[in-house]
Order: sequence, then C-alpha cells, then structure tokens
Amino acid sequence: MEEKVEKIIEIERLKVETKNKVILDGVDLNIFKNCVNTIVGPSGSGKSTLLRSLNRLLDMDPSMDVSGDVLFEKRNIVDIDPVELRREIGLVFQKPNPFPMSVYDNVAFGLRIQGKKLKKDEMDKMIHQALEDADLIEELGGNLKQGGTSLSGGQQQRLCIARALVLRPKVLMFDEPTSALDPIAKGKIVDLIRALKQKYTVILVTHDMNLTRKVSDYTNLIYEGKFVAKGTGSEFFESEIEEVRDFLTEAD
Amino acid sequence: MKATNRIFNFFTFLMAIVPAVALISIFVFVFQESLPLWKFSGLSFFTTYLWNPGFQYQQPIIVHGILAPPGAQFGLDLFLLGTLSTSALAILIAFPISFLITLNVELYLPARIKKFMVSMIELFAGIPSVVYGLWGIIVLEPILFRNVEPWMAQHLSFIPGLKGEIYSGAGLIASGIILSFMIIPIVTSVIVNSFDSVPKEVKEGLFSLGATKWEVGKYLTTRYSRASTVGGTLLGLGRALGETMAVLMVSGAVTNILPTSFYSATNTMSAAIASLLDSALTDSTRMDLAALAALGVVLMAISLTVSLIGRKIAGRGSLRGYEGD
Repeated sequence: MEEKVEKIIEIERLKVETKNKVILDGVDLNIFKNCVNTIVGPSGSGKSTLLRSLNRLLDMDPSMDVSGDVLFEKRNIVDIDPVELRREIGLVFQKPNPFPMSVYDNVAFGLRIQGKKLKKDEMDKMIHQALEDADLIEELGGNLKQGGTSLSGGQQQRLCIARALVLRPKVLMFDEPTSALDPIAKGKIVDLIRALKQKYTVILVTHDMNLTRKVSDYTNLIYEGKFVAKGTGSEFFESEIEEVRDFLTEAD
Repeated sequence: MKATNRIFNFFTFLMAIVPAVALISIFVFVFQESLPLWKFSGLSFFTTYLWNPGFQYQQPIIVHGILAPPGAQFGLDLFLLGTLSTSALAILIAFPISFLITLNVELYLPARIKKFMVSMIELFAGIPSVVYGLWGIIVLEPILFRNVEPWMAQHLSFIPGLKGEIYSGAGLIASGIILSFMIIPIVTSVIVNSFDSVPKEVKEGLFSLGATKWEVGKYLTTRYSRASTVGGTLLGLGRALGETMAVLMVSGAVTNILPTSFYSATNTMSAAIASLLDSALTDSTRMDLAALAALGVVLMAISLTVSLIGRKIAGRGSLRGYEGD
C-alpha cells in the first residue's frame, strides 16, 4: 500500500532535546498525503513536541534544541519562512482556543493578518466555506456575530478547525482534539476528520485508541522519543510487537 | 460560633475597612484644612495662575470675613498645567518604551535572560525618587541644555511649542523624562504580567495561524489584554501625577511665570506643596497653609478620577466586551 501513496512530509533523524532531556531521539517518519496519519503513545513520549516541530512552533522556545531534517513537499522546512509554513500546516490544539471575538472574526483572523486585501463578499464566502467544511455552519444558524468563546466545547473545537481551514492548508495537525470533549462532541470530530482527509492530509496525535481505530490509516506508536511500531490501521492493531501489545492493553 | 472564630472575624473586618476609613479621613482632613481658602478665593482659585503668599509680617486684613496676609492671592493654574503636561509627556515617553520592552522580553529573549531583565526592571522601581532627581540635575539637564534642546529648537521649531528660548534644561522636558523613567517599571511590569497570564494555547494558536511575533504582541497587548495594558498605564499616570521630589528638582520650580514653550521651567501641584510648605507654616493666619491644602484636595480629586476612569475602561476591556463585536 505504501508504494502507491504519495509522501507529503518526510521526517529524518529528527532530534529534539533540552539541556537535560532528550524528547525526540532521532525519529524517522513519513506522512502520507490525503490519509489520516496517527501518532499514539503514552503521555510524555514526545507526541506534541513532534507536531510542534513540524510547523516550527518549537522555534518559539529557545530552550529546545532541534536537529535532523523535516522535508515538506521535498523542501526542508528550515528553508521555508515559518509564517508561510504555519499556514500550510495548520494545527488544532487539545484545548479549544478561540479568540475572544466573534465567530466571524475568529475565522477571519488568519486571513486578515495575511495582509491580503480581500473584498468583503470574497472574505464572507471563504469564511462560510471554512465553517461549512468544519461542519459548524448549520449549528450556528447563520449567526456569525456571536462570540467564539460562548460556544460549546465541541463547537469551539470545530471553530478552531474552521480557523485553520480558511487558510487552505495542505496538512492539518490535531493534538489530542477530542480529549477535552464529551462523547457526542467527540463523535462529530471523528466524522469530521474522516471527511477532511478527502481534501487534506491529517496528522492526528492521540492516546484514544477508539478514535484511532475509527479514523486512522497509518498508525505509529511512539515510546520515549522513538517510534517502536508503524503500520496501516489493521496491521498496527494486530502487531505482535511487545510495546504495541502493552500499549493497547493499557489503553483499553 | 467559637469565640476565637468571632475574634478572628472581627479583626479581619477591622483590617478590611482600614483602607476605606483612612482614605476618607485623609480627604476630610485635607479638605477641612483648605476651607478658609475657598472662602477667601472662591472660584478665582481655578482662574488665575498667580500664587502670592502676601506680606506675612504686616497686619492681616479681613477678606470675605477671613483673616489673610495683605497682598495674598492664590491660583492653581500654573501648577495644574505643569502636573498635567509633565504627566502626559511621561506617559507618551513611557508607554511605547514599556510596550517594546514587553515584546522583546516576551517574544525575543531566551527565558534565562528574560528573568534577569524583568528583575532589573523591577529593581528600577525601587530607586528613591531623590536619586532620579539628582541624576536629572547632574546628567540630564546639562545634556538637554547643551545638546538636545538647541537641536530641537533649530530643527523642530515648526511644531508648536518647540520654538523658543532655552533657559537651563530644567523644566517640562526634563520632568517628563524623569517621570517616564520612574513609571516605566510600573507600566512594564503590569503589561509583562498580563502577557505572561495569556494561556499558552492562545499564544500558540496565534502563531500557528501564521502570525508574526509583532502581530502576536500587538494583538495580545492591545486587544486580548487591553484591560491590563490600560490599567498599567493609568497606574503609571497615577504615580506621575503625585510624584514630588524628582520633579521638584528638575522642573525649575517656577511660580508666577507661565511657560511659553516646552523649554520653559514648570512646576507641579505636588512639587509646589512640598516647596512652599516651609514658608506657609510661618503664616500666622494659616491662609497660606489652607491654599496648599486646597492644592492637595484638587490633586487628590484628579488622582481619584484617574483611577476611577481606569477601572471603568479596564472593565470595558474585559474579555466579555469583545464578544459579538
């Protein structure tokens, strides 16, 4: 299967360390286009750090020392302007983080700081499309003036997804997107992730094995800063690798 | 209820009302002390800039039924103008500097250096104002007098107020600069603290949407935590309005001569109270003292108003205020 699918991100010997701790210990990983690429692992294993190194959010933290290569569409990410890179690789966080402004302004935020002068109706159209792709437009009943922080947790999370989608990224990364949500809100995110992979490449970080079973095309287990198992959905769950068995037992 | 608990409750209540009682009683005391002045001067206290204690060693005369030295006349305009202009200049200088320090400390410097910088800035707040004043006289005034002000008068004279004769370096500009040094630590530490209290998700959220450091800093200080930014600035303004010693030393402490340009000597209400108190105490009619108390009343009223407005703006700037706009 792997041969047929195009790689969009190639991670080679990526090492992230602080003065006294190695967080990622020279990992290799391929991210496949238009697939849900899942990274699972116990907390503290380096999952979130991996995501934050892909869009160079780690650059913001001077205590992190990053080495190795990450190729995004065959270009090394250190050669790409971080601002541009972050628009291409969107990130949705564990805790929904809408800005204290209206739904409309939340989604418009990324467009506005881009400095592009968009016509009002053009902007409206993009924002509606993003909210529709994030499966939120119907629930809002067309009221985009309401405050982003007054929505329910699940709606806030989808608003944050819309905020990333409006920038038309190629890759969308989710950092434990369902762990702060109730089961119904969780279900909606599951459906949404499935739908999104038609247009986008999804990287999903989670320790929720139910979620992984439902959506994942490629599952990778990270353990103490190293990948110990990689495989397609069914391969992974049937793997005989000891760490996988242990992790699955613990997670269930 | 246990007796110890009752006693404890009583004392916490007592301690809780101390600030309110103290504030009210100070205001009442100062106002009472100023009463003869209001009878003597009436509204002319607000309409003239002349301040003349009169002839204290001549026979007092009776004006509006009140004893006063002959020739006495009191108006606060010069001091009020000085207070407002030096404070305004101080804020104009301090705010952009505090803003840039915050951005630098929060977004550009490594954590280790950040800690050091912040503690240095906070140390600045602990320098006694008389030391600032001394530095102002020895270092700042000569530089202003010899280098800065002549250059300004030559090149910026098209700006109203920047054309005119240069006197000594003491005055509005020196006072504004000294005051700005004194309030930068206050304004900066409030903005830095509010920046620190922004949740990490919000900061990372902004960056992950492709915002630059400048955009993140601008958004967080002017929108997300606008309440703290305004609050900190007004806190600084409050300090500037009341600051006495340093301003007294570098303002030129002038009376009876209105400023004609930014280079002129000036005086503020607080500095005037401090510098004129000594001679006022020799006035047997106590009218001079009453006039200084009246200055104190007005100064208190202004400071109180500033903090009330500050609270109101800060309240409006809370997160709720942005929803739906």
